[in-house]
Amino acid sequence: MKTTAGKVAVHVIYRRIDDAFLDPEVFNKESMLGVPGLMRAYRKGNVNIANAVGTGVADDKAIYAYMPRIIKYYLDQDPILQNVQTNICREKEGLDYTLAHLDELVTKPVGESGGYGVVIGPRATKKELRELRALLQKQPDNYISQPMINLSVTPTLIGRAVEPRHVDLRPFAVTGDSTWVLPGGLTRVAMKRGSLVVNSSQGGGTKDTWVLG
Amino acid sequence: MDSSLLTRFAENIFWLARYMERIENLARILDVNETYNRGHAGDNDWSRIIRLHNDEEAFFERHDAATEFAVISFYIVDRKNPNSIMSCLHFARENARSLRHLISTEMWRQINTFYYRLRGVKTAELRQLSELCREIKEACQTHTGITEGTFFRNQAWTFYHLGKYLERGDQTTRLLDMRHNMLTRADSEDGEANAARQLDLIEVNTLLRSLAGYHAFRLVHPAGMTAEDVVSFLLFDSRFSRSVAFSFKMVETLIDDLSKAHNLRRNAAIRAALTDARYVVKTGTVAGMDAADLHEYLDTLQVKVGVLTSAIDDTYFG
Repeated sequence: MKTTAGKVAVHVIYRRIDDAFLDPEVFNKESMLGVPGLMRAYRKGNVNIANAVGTGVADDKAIYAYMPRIIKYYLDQDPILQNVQTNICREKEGLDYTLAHLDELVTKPVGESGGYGVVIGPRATKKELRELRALLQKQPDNYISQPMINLSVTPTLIGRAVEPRHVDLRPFAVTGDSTWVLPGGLTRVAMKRGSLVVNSSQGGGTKDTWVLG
Repeated sequence: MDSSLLTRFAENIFWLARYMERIENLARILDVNETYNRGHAGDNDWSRIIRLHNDEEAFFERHDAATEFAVISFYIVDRKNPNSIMSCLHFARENARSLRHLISTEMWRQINTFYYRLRGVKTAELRQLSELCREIKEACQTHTGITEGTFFRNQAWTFYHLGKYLERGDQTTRLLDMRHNMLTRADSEDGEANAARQLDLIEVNTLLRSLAGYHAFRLVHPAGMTAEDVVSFLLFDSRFSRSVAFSFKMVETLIDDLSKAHNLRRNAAIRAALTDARYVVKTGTVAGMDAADLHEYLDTLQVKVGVLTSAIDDTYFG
């Protein structure tokens, strides 16, 4: 960390870069995003990476679908928070259901982020659905599908007028010996009229989050 | 000792101050230029503002002639001109935005309001230049006042003021250099001397007022006004808050502040550059100088200011 008093060592890094681009010495040599030598420092124990290399596995959207089964298997408990109904296309039942209801469901590639590759069935054109059907049949394990969630809207200043825009809430929890939930969160807002895509990489914005009571 | 400050925040606050100082200065230059152009036929020269900023190429790329309105638009509202008031204000606001955790809410609010006010400026208002410039100057002075009254006295404060006084010293030397010719005319003894002297008085007055220095000058020289005295005053009188001597004095205090109050002691290169620059001011004298001498002297001074700025840049922002 460069400060006016000189360089100061940091203890923990929360990274926002994919593994492949994290350190050109170790991973993708072409990466301009990463920090050369980061993995050396990490191995020596000089710095910790909060979302360690390899944790991208948990980002796979199919993991989400398996969460209730993972909880049951490892803890022999029922989940407290219910999942959104998620159809796993690598399983025949899930694929059949998805193909039969393509125009009602939101279909997502499991390995993407930032809202890329997501097809919102009720808003897709016939051509888009046709293409999606072909992709699903070719590579079913790359997809999950979920019912379309009706996101809330919030008044948003657009130019000189206030208009409704869709929002979602990202809560944050830290789990160790105990679990702590941040009394706040990240409210993301879709800036385009009618859009449900709140991802910042696609022009989404943020809103203040108020926790009452 | 306060906690450390990230390099980029130090640099942002340094530039926030520079841009605000630059805006005030430019507003004053435009205002004074208009005041003195009006009523002095034949001296309706707006191109010198373009020359002052070395903007000939950028300006004439988009305008055929340096008309009053073209120059005013170019320097107040033109976002394509990085030296325009609007551009400077945009950069100041972008810096302020990244510094919202360090500056006071009042500072941010005022810069933001100022920005939106200027963004909405109407063409008709550009034709009421004096009024508009007064408003811009007052917004800058309000910024100065709010900063004095609300800004926490930590490292960020010191870097803010370093930026402010370096910019001020730099602006004064540039402005003087723009008018270095007046020294020659004041000394000329040929047949046109009288007319030249008349013109000089206007020049000298414009220069003083561009730096808000008329009344300060009068405190030191209640009667009479020579180019030599004015140049000397603007360079060397450390009681005048826009003189080069004053700027350097402030920079010295601020560097002391860095090492003593904030325990930042890597100042050797900065101190060397500052001593060098202050020596040029301490040993300088306008007596006996002609225009060429003054130009050369100001050139030396500008180089010293450049070295000083680079030293700060290398030490703290590099």
